[in-house]
Amino acid sequence: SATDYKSASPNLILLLGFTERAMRAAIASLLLVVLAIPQHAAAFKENEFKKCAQTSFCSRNRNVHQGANFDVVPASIVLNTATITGTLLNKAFGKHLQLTVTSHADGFVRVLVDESPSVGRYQVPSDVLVSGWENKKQGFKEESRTSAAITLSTGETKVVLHFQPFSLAISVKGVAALQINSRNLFNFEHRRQKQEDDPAGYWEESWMGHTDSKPKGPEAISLDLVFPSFQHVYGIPERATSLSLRSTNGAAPYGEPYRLYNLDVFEYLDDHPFGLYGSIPVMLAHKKGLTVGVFWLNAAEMFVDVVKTRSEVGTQWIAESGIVDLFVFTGGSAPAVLSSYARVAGTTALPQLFSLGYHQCRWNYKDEADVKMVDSGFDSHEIPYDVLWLDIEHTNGKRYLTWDSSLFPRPVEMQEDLASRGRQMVTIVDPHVKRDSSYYIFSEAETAGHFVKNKHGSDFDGWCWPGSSSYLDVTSPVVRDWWAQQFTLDKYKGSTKHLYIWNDMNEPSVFNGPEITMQKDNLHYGNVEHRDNHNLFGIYYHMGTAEGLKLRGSQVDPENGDRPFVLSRAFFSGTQRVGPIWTGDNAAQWSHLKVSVPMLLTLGLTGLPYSGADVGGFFGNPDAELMTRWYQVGIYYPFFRGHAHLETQRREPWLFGEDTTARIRTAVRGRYTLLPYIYTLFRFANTSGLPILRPLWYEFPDNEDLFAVEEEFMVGSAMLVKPIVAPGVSSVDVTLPAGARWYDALSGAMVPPKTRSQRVQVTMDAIPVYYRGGNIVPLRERPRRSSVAQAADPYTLVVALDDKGEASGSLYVDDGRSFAFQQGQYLHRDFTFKSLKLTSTVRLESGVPNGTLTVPTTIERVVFLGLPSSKRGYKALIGGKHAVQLETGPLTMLAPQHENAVVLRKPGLQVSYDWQVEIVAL
Amino acid sequence: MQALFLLTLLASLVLAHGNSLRGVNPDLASHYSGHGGTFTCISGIPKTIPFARVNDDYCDCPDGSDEPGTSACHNGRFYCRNLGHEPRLLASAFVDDGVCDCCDGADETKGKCQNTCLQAAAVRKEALRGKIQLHEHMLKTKNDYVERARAFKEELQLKAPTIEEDIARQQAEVQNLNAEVTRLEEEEAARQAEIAAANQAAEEARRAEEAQQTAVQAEESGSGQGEDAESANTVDSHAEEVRGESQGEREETPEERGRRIASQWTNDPEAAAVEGQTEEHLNADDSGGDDDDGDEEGHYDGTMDDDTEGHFDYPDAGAEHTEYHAEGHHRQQRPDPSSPLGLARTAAFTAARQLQQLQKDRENIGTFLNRPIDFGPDDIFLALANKCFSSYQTRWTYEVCMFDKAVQKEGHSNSVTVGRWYGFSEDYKVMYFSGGDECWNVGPRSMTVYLSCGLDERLSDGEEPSTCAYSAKMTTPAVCTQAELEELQQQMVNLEAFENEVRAQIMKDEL
Repeated sequence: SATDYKSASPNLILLLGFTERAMRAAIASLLLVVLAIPQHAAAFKENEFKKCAQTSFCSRNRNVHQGANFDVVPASIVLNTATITGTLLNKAFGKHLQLTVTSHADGFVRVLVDESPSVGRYQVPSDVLVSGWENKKQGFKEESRTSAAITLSTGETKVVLHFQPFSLAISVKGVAALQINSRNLFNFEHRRQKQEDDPAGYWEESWMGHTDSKPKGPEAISLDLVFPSFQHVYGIPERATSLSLRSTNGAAPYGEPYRLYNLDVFEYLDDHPFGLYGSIPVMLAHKKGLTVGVFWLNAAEMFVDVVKTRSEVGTQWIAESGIVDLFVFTGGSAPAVLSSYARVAGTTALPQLFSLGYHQCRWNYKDEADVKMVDSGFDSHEIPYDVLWLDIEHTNGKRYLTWDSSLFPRPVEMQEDLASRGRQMVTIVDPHVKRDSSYYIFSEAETAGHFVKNKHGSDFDGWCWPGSSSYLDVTSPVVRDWWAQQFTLDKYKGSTKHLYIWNDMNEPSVFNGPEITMQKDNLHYGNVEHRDNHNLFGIYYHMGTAEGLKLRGSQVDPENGDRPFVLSRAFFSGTQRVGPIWTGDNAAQWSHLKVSVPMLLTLGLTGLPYSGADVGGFFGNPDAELMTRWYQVGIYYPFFRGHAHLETQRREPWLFGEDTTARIRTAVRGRYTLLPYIYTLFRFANTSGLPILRPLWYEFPDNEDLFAVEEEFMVGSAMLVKPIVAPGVSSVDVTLPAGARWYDALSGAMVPPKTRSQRVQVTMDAIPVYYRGGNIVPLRERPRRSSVAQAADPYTLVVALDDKGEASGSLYVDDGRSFAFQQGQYLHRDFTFKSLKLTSTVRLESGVPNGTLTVPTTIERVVFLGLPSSKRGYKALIGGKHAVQLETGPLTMLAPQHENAVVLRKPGLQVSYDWQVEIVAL
Repeated sequence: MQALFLLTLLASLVLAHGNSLRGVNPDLASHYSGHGGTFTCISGIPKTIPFARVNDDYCDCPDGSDEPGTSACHNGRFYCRNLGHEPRLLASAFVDDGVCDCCDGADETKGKCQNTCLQAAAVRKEALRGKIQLHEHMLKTKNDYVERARAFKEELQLKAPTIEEDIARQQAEVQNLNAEVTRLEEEEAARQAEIAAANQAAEEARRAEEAQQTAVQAEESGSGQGEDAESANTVDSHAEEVRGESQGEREETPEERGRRIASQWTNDPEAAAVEGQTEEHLNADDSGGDDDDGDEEGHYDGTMDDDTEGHFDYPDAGAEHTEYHAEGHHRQQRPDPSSPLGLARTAAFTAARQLQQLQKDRENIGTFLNRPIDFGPDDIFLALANKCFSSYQTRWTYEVCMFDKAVQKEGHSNSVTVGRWYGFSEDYKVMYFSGGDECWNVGPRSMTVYLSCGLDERLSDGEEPSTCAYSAKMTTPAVCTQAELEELQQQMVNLEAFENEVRAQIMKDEL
């Protein structure tokens, strides 16, 4: 439509006058420049976040040796089967503490310290953990008692409690595992009355214009945990740093302790001890022969120092409030430690199968036409994907659970259209609620008193995307229950059963709050200060939302329900039971691709394996090479999503030229090929708490050279991946641990292991990936448009033999979406290859109902890697009679030129039943 | 192209009849004869397999050619005959996946999908018929454009040699007339002043009485109730100063802090704004700009009211560069149009208007005659000289001015130049605007406008596919071609012939 000059009214001309417009543009851009420049001078503005020295509770405890003030009163010791109690005396103040040490049957010892008598210090509510774990105890045996110490044993664990000063030493199988207060860094600040001469920071503290009133005064705790004769500790996410944690007494930025305080950090750096969006106060220490784990159940702000010496790794943990509730996992190995931790904090919820496919996200897919275009782009470029995501702009003015009706006038039709091709949609829902009385969520929550209160007791008002906002007090079960009800199909207008949820900003992020979060003297349900439960806000919000989807699912499918899918940014111990997390706002930089690996490995080692980093990097514009390499690694992220900032260039996989499109297509299809294996790994994560991605040391715990390796990782126990994290790489050094056979996952060629790394040539087409001999890996090789479209496809089994000519593996199958598996509606087969016989048997596990599901699916292909050469080849006897000739062929049709495998073609094996295939050399 | 496709299809009808293999592309049908009981993979690594392995749901050929009708090969292609519509080569991945991709439903198991090909074809034929008619009309319009462009250019050529003299003469004329107006105005002003002085004296006397009574009230309410523009302006600029100061020295309010942090993520001061607030600031800030527009482009300080005739327009003078609007500051009581002053003003106004026309002519000569701009074959795009076209998106309006620039606007306040005229692509199917306003982290903005044949000029699909690189589509009859019409007509011929063929085929099938 032409703006016809002739017909325009004089007023319009006036408005559109050129000089005037130019002036406006000039003024507007001037404003933009003025506002933009200072903000982009630095990314992560270190001085906007507190350091230990600027934090009263940390600075008055860090490296302060007060631990000798605490003695055990010997006469107070009482041993009652699995529990020993005693009194700790703080000699400096004449204050008493109650010490309780309990031995649990699930492989851990719990150490509790609280004031005696109790003054009502905050304890993390039991609903953050699983229920029932407290009851399974295992008795202590008193080994000896002197005036200086008492020695107890439980199973293979020995606990020595020294009296003067208080210290605890724990050993496993005679190997020293942990010492508490051996360096006298323990401290426990008791509640007290305000005194005239109290040091500054006891009762009030200011930071960048925010004043924190501290009505309860000082109540910090310092824990001195030493791992004797260890050199490596891991865990305490979330931060962008190395896998094996560095000492914090080094050069900047590693002169600061690691921090556990959930924060929304703008443009975080790729190598920094600073804490990010989530916190899991869990640490693993590993040495040859022993892995030990600790978990301090405490949700307050926490700083952790790591100091390594030749003889030990010393750690000091300082929390602002709460009590000592320390779990020491003594199972001896990393899998045992993680399984024990899972008994307390829970295992990974079995995800919807679709959620293990590829997710396409962007801030923002603008409107329904954009959604349609992106969706059809995947089909026309033959790239599979499962979920399309809508960021905050889809809402009506950032009022979550509403739609911008000019952009998304027909959300139901849009979702149904995607669903007709087996795809789902995710919308974002954040915990800040726009203060607008015409917004139903706000008015209902306000009326019911569902918001977090400020220190004066009125609804807290903070600034976030919608402007002035209040925050749902999700620490209250009543509020969570109300929140869950907002997700039923009748409540959430424009939603369908194909819509799932993304929880962002749940640290919580408060733009005008201290350190971009909430004031610590805000008040929660039960009159709890925000200081006490800050790190729980994220998990509670996540829980409430997931409960909402569960509720919706129970209405849609009353018999079997629907597993929730809710992505969260903030997290805590236990988040694994709720849903996945991602590593937040990373950047399109090689260094961020690189650090994503140790970040995800760390999450796997702390019980939260279902996690991923934004592929491509959130901020900035990745070039084709970075994009390609990121997808090639990203397909192994347990949570696999591409995402981009509002102001980046469009980056759907086909926008980087044909070569790149082809490479990304191959990569993403590779993910879908691996889904049976990945889903099976998730089953193990669900039953036993085992990680999906694993550091090499987890799989090779006796090889000391591997203890700090983060440049490679294992996917389950069967695959080793070497990411390429720099541009222009034509060859890389790959470490293939000795003691195993390795096969190139593309060519099938056996690669000899070496004690040191070996140089491997690479192209842009793929990164080095290897199958580990001794494993059987189930695949689905047909590239479909989504995981749903794969449902009826046959399987391929890759049988990678070890030195003994043996291999084993398993395949888990269920409906991929409901809770029916909990009633046994699943199929889990074990495959073993031994003495040239491949056998399929049912897998039985204690603690779960036996699988009763049968599916009509067959195995179309069995690929043997590492069979000894036979001049005349092999035949297979199926079920003892039917003989089939085996063929020499490629491991995969992606590399058909490499005929390094022996292939059993169309054996017609049913996955649901027992069978045996015997390989006979001709 | 289309014709070839259909011919291939016709050929395939015959072949397909004798070949029952699912999903085989008729072009490749000869490979699937089954002679000798073997099949040789069509391309890539040479490999021959027993024919029984073709379409046996297992991938044997690296090129996927042994499984045209199943999903077994990652790189296979499934051929949908789509009888009655267009054939399609589908990725094997989409075969038997529960989604109907082919209109004949051949990619899924029988009974799963409805055959929608004939409907698709009928719709297509109807659309084709309409397209042909439309295209004929558009070609007619295109001829008009050529004629209009020629006339425009000729007129400028005619005026060009004497334009400077003509303008000089007209300027003198305007000057004379304005001098006359000024003289008469001064006379009039003096007369008015006498009257006003008398009135004012009376008024002041009255006010002085009232003032004492209302002073207290006025102070309490705190509102000066500025009655004239001047006092309002004073208040405005004062407010401005306060705002300026406060930004520098005062501590942030919680709201300002929230906005500042929000803008980190968006580089946009409005990011976390409550609707409209920042916009109002912008409006307030640049409201002063109106008066500073300057007279450089024939600004006419007329004395007429805004609501009568505030601007002049000229045939084909659509560019908005020149703006003519009456200012309010000469506002006086309007004289009788038949008075000497009234007559002189009308004469001066008319003369100024003619001067504007001449100046516009000179600008047009400068732009369209003397600059080496490419106006397309037969200068056809000159028919669109000085025209602007807009595309109204949900949030943004894009405006493209031919041979000038492209602009993106939001509401009435924010406007950004997204590019200046750069030129056409070689085939005149694309217009480029480059070197627009700078964009944070990206560089100058640019805009690409894709032209396609259409009934008239319509700008659409204005968007920002990647940051600060804008695009839009525009239709115009100027790019329509006879060849396209012939192609459409040929399609119709083919379609009708094909329909008859299909009907016969279907009848035969039914028998």
